[in-house]
Amino acid sequence: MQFFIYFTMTEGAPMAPPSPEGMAKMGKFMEESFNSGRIVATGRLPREVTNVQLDQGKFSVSDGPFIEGKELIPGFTVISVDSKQEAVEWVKELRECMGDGILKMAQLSATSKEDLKG
Amino acid sequence: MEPIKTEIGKIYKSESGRVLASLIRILGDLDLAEEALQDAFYKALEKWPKEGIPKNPYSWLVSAGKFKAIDSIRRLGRGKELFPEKLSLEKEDLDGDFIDPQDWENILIEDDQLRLIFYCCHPLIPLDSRIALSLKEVCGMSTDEIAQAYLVSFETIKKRISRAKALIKEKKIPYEIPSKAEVTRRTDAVLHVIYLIYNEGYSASSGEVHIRRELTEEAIFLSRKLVELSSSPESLGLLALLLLQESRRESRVTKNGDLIPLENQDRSLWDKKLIREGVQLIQHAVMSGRLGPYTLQAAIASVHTLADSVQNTQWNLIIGYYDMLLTINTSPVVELNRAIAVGMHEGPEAGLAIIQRLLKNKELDSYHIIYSAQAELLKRLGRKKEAIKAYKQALELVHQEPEERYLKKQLSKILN
Repeated sequence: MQFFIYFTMTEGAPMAPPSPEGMAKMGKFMEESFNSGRIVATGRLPREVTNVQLDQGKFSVSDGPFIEGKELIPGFTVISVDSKQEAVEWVKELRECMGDGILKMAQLSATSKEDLKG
Repeated sequence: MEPIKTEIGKIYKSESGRVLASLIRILGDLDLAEEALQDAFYKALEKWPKEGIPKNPYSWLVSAGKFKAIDSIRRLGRGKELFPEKLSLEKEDLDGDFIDPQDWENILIEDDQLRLIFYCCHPLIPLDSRIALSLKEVCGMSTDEIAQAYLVSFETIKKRISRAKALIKEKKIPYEIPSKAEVTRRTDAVLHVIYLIYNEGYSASSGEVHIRRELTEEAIFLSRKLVELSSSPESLGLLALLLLQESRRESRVTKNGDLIPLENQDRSLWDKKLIREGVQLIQHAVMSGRLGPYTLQAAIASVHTLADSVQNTQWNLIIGYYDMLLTINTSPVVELNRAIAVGMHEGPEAGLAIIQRLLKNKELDSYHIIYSAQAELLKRLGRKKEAIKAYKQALELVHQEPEERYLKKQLSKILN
């Protein structure tokens, strides 16, 4: 099962820089998690997205905001684990590297290539 | 100068890099493309004052350059040798009616610039030649300007460039963006050169102007393209670093081009949007694992951009990042910067002790910044005579006019 883990920030509010110790710990933790195959992907969601719209056979492509409102998602990670408990443990460890604050996790119900084989 | 000529001069500065990058793709030869670029601008100087500046100067210049080159290839009878098949790569080859031709052209131009830097930074070319060639071809700097920037002779730079060009021909280095697997292997060299280009623009090592906008813009553009190509932690880190430096640009010099030290900068001029993007990129880089020097330097810059004054800056964090940087690679310049931070956090004496040790090791004794940092700390300790001596040493070594003016001002302040 896969979990989408992310944190939010409010637009305009400054984000505190991570402590050097936390940063070092986090770098190491993430690298290990990459190597063990637990991390599927990690990244940040941009503020702007491109809308591809089909309207009666005619395409239009335009830029627009990703989410309306002031919440931003500066960082996310998708992990692949065997249980929700395992995911919580992983997230705890990541949050410790980052310091005080919230990390949110949502289970992804996604269909993958493997599922189609069954 | 007539206004139109000034305008053409501006277009030369902004367009010549893109025009050259496209001409290399079309003509398949670096020297030929350089000649074509010059010819195209001669033609522009002749035509534009009479006919006006075309709507799309880039396209005009590329086709003018292309025709001039084909002309001279024919004249010299070198058709077989130089006429590349690529000459046919035009918009009509690009299928799909979904994308607007103008968009296609933009994509092609942007790719050309990325192609050009990978070309100039090919691993078969030695590092010093890579840098010289990139500054010349990507940034349009003259051999003379590059020589001044690196404090070496004109002849040395000329040699480095011709060696690079010879290797490109000899090894038949292709003009292309490498495949995904290759990109990772070759990104480090490109990152390094982009970093140097930005630094040269952000703090020109010689001459009258401190900031050269064309170079900083080019570096940021290339850095963005590289992140699109591969989000490796260090590509993200470099882009973060450049954006955070760039965010402070407006506040660093006065209208007359005088330098403003960090403590006197108007922080309300710092670009919040760039800061936000930079900080997010750092997060992304850290979350990708593996911390590298660009990410750490970006983290240092982020601490400054998030503080409301020099006094309220979290110097302890900055020192911590410098310590991590030193574990990756020991560099006297990094140690010097760390000493300055220590001077802010623990007091001038602690900073000074590190600087004295560095000077004793003679690693930085021809670098003006070490003396100006020393002078600053001595001044804060009230050791006036020694501070004057250090300012004078810095002045002897400085090559850049705004920095020289700044140091002179500090010296005259202390003398009065």
